[in-house]
Amino acid sequence: MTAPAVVHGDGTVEPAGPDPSRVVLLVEYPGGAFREFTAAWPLEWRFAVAPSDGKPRSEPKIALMFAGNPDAGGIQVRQEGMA
Amino acid sequence: MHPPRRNRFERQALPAAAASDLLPEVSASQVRYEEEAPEISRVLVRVEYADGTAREYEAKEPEVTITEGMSTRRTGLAVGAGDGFAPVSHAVPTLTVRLSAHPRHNLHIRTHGPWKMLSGEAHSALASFLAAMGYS
Repeated sequence: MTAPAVVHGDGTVEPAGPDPSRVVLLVEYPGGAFREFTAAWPLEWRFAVAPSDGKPRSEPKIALMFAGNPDAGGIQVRQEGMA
Repeated sequence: MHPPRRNRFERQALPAAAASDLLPEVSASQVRYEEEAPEISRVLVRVEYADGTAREYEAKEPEVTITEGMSTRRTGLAVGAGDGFAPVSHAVPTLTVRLSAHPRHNLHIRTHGPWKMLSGEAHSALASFLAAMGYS
């Protein structure tokens, strides 16, 4: 298992915690359609949150990457209402 | 009696020479200001830990780029042809997300359950981070 590589974005401290046991990304579209990605015990995990500094075009940002674990089902995808 | 209120989209009369350099005249009734429908209405990232703690990051109508891919990762060791072990690699699925919150909705962060596994220092850093984000 790769140790979590927590990235610190723009001076923000996102404390390094333990490896996540599960990561879920839910993406909802207008009209009720959605896609849901689930990774249990991801092999690799990177995450950064950069807050707004109050300046124009500086809204909060998230950068997220994870790699599925073949021994834990990889990345499961569930979706509804998608073409 | 008050003079009629000027329509905010009404154009001032311009000298003919200046007007000819501009785009074709558009009447106020033709002007439409419509907000584009969001392509994605909501994104929720939920991160769960073995102790039952979960953190959620929610963004409504964000700008999002999601990339699904495959990459090679070392996933274990196997007995090699010689005396030692040989690394075993597999192609594994990866997901990369870049998200920019909508200024109107901002980013919402929630923590569920005690964060027991954090050290005192990490807990302080988390508190500072949440305070910087406007949460206390």
